Amino acid sequence: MTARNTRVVRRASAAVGVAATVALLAGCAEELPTPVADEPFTGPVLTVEQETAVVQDVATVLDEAREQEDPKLLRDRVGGSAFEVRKSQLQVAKVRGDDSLVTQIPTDLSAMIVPTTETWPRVSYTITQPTENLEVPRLVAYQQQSARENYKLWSWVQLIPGTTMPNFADPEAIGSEEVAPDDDSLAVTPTEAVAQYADLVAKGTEESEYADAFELPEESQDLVMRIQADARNVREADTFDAADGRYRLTFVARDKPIAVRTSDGGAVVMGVLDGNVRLDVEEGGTIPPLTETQSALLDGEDETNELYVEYTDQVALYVPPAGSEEPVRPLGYSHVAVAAANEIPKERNTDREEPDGE
Amino acid sequence: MLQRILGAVLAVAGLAAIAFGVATATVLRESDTVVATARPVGDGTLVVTDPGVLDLVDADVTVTASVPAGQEVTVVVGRDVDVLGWLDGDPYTRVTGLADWDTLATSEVTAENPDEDVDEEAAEDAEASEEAEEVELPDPAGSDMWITELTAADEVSLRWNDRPGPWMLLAAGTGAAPAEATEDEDAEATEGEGAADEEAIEDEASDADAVAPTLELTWDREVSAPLLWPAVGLGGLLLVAGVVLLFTGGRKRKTTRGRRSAAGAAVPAGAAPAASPAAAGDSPSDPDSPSSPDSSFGPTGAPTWSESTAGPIWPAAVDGPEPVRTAASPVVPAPGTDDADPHGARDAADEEDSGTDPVPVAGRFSRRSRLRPTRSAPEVPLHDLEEPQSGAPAPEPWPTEPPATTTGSLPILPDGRPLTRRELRRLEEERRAGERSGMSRALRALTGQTPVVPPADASPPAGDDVPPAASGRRAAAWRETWGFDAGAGGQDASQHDSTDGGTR
Repeated sequence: MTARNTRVVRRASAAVGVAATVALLAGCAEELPTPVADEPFTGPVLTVEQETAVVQDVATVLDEAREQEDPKLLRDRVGGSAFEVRKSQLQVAKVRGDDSLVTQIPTDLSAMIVPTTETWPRVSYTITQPTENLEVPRLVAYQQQSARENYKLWSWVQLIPGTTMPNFADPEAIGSEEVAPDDDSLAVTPTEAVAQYADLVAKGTEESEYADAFELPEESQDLVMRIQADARNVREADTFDAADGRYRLTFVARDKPIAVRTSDGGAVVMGVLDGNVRLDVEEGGTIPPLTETQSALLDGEDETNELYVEYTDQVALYVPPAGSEEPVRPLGYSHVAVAAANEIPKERNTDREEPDGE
Repeated sequence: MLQRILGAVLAVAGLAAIAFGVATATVLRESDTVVATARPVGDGTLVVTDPGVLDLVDADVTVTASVPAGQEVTVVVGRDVDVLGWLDGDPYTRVTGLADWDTLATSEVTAENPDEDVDEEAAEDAEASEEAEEVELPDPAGSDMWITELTAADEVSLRWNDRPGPWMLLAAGTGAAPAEATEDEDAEATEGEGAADEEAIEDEASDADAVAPTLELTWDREVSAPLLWPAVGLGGLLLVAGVVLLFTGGRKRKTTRGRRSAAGAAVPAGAAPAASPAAAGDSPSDPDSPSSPDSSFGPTGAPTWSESTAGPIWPAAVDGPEPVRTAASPVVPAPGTDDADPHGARDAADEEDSGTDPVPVAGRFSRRSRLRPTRSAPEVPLHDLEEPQSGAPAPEPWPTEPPATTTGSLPILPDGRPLTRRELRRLEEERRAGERSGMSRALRALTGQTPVVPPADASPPAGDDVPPAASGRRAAAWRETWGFDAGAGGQDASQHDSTDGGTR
């Protein structure tokens, strides 16, 4: 009896053991999870923190280069037209022994415009606060040319006083769409807008056929007024006229402006105008440099009867969406002489751009 | 014996189930962390995890990337587009998921156009050579695109909290750690050309050893023990059932032994008693007569009943099974043999047995079947009530309980009250026959009453011709239980019938 009993018990416990093992194995056989990629990103490509870091990094590099007066230091964080201009500014500062003409780029921001571009190049923008000495805010563009490069200071303009900036999409949640240079959803394509503006700058509101397309600020100076005013000042000078002086200027737009969509479907376009001013007077006369910058750029060259000054001007325009009755508005500009000579060269910075200019 | 075996098996099974349940929550419980490692494959110094790998197991992951001593490693996390754009044709090891719980699945991505890049860079300018080196040894450190970035020598550990979006992790071995410091334009600008070249050579040598880091992803995970409580619950039930069987088995043996020793006459008598307790047992469970049976039965069956149902009796049963037995058996024979004179029969029975319970029986009969007026009974019940509570009563429940639940209540309750006395009697007989024929073997197995019943059955069938006698007495008990009070005679029955009719 007892033997049978124990046998039964043993059998039963064996059965229980088997059941337990099976259950255990079943528990262990939990399935391996497989990666499930979340929905693709649709928002801005940079977070606010990243954008801030970019701005800070760039500012650090700018400061260092400024202190050392060494344009080479800019390479990591400055590119495009900004590099040319900055390089020139630093050289001028070095010659003058004074960096007061080097444009300050504040790091305190009043707005960010972060792109949604998934490919490269990508451009993000910031609008700064006024500088310490209350210069106007800047609209600054930072471009990342390729994935392995970092954002670089690409372009900046000083906003025209009294200018109202258009609204942009929320940089944290939505991000702003990049606008191609030939985008036709605008009143004019960005490329055309900059070209027309260049024409306006070179010819002035009275001669340019595009004058009606632009709404120039009335109470403050934009690039057109500034350059035309400069020209007028020289041309109307008695001595200049008496010396049979000529004041000729050319401004043409570089292609591939950068542009970003505004909330109303328009775009802010940032372009570069290459320009030069050529002065000459009768033989034997001399033309002194018109500005400190020019004299620094000439760097001690003798004064002749010719003066040649090259400019790299960065401009920002607001282009309304297609179908809008609104005109194109200049938002800001940066007018900086980058080269000067005491004779007018045959090859000029505007030569290759001539076709585009017309 | 079978009972005890069954009990043992159940108990063991119950213990095993409990143990298993506890084990699933302790020793068998899976690790709280998942640690999976990816070994780089193929060329390149880069390892990249696919979107979704970082939060494969849990939203929080710790990534540890390690390279041979003396080298530097960088780990970054970025948007999938950014990481893929940054890779830009370089060969890398792609981590695609888990191969098993300890290993990450990897695949090799080969270079698309490495030479082209180098050529471009080399053609550029004075810094071309160094930039070309960087292309060969891509270093993601310092990019604006990364959400998080860590660089360290030998090993770097990064905690990542998943956020929405297809994030990718990129780890890169970037060559000898110390060489990095001198390799920049400052060095070239301030130091002589020769120095720069030497450093470049050093860099080349050390960079050649650069290897892709080994990734180790560690997740915490919630490990539940879903089987714990079900297993413990089931095990507990099995265990209880098993223990019960074991006890009843043991008790049965004891009782049989005790009975044998007690007296031969007790056995035949015991048969009838078995029936009566059963009948008595019906009353308590029956809703129709809740109060009267308890009070009237109090002395004999009722107290034990209430206690048995309550449960506390079980332990007590172990203490004094024998007395109960003996007490129970006499009760029945008395009524069975002497319908007219239950008292005398009962007394005799009491005397035969231990004599502990006689009084209650008398009380019951006198009260129920005879006349309610019998007031002597209450006193007795009181005693009994007290006694049982003190612990003595325990024994009774055993024999009475099982039949009570199974026999009487079932047929009557569903029908309401349609059963006639004859039907009741027949039921009772059938039940007994069933017990005899083994129909209620399971019942017996549970209760251990088998020995008691057969002898009891043997006698009642004989008295079949005299329904009023044995079965009549039982019927009387039933009737009393249900309020018929028919046991005494036609008068009572008629009275009660009328009342019953009223209820009908």
